[in-house]
Amino acid sequence: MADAVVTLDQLTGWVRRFNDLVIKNQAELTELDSAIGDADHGINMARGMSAVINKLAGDPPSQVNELCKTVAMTLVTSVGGASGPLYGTFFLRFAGAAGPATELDAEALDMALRAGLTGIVERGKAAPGDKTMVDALSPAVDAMELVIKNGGDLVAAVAAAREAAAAGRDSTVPLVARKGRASYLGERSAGHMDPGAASMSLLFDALAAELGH
Amino acid sequence: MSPAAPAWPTRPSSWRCRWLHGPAPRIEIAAGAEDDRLGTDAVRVAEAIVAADDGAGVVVIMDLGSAVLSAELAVDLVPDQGIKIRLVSAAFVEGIFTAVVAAAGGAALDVVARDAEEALYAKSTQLRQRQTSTADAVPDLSAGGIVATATIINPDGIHARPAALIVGATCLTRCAGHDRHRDFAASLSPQSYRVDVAGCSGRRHDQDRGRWLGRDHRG
Repeated sequence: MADAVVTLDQLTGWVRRFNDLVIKNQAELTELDSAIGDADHGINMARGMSAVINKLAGDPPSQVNELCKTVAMTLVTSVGGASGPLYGTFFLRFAGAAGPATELDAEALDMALRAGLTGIVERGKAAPGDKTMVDALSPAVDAMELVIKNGGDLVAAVAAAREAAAAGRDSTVPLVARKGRASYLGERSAGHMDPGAASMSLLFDALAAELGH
Repeated sequence: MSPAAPAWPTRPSSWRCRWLHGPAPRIEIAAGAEDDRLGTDAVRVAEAIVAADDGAGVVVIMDLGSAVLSAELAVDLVPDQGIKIRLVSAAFVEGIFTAVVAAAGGAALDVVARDAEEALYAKSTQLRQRQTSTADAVPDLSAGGIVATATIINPDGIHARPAALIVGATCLTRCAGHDRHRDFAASLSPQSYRVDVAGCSGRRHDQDRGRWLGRDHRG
């Protein structure tokens, strides 16, 4: 039977798996960032997520908004680069939308992810096609909403989100960057995957893995 | 905020504004990320904003990249949402210098912000011979009173230090009985060939106007 909700424990597991994936793919993320950025995305995200795991271990949250606010503020203070305020804003808005809950159903999870997307778009002013993490996040949230609207369950919705995030990440390869450090390269940014989109797709890989996919 | 460097002062008490001719405004630094690494920390920026505010508002000047995002996030993180904050798209060095001079001279928050944003004009004029200024030399004193403007021109140019002297000397002149509500706005004009000094509104403005207009303005 498919899960109807994702619990606080599972969301905490999501964060742990994201940390694991970021550390595992740290070198690749940094290599992507070397081509079109300042060569620190993997290092920054690994440092940030490690700090998150330490913080959560010392101060386990009892509600979803507490969990995500801790993730947000720890990333903001420990990442250092642009991903700090961007992922920080994502998790802060997620926290705000999720509220003092201990579990989220499909709609609530979708709304929280949508709030996170809106936050990143407002913060970074990027639109789909600008070659940023939004190119992975936006299709993921759209895909999830479509499955829910068509009566699909939470696991199916998250699986669809993961597929869409991966496709969105891949779609950044030929794009010319219009935002962020890569935009300074102009046409030379084409032909390289965006590192922010790559890390964002890991976030959905982690969520899908936590729900058993 | 500037990337962290070992020599960068981290506490404002180590700043010496020798070129200021008036009380220095509060200056807070929020450079670097954790462990003073290169990067920025929006929480640090938010704390610096709170520390810098003394009721008149805070102008935030940043360099590039994550500093801008961190400054914007910091505005959301500041606990007292009544603090007036202006994030300024100023050239870093020129903007800081101009903002500090304007603030030390008693300029209002929006004037400080505007002057900082236009601070690159002197350099671009020098390099590109631009003839016109987009600066509005007369600040808005729409609350009433008399607005008087003096333009001090030195054909040989007015260097930064003398300009700061002029600004400081003029802005520190008190309107009689109205030192709280002085609306002096003396801006270190981005043109660097002129310093625009304008304004004083208050009950006894006629006498005050006479007093500072009586100064020798010849360059």
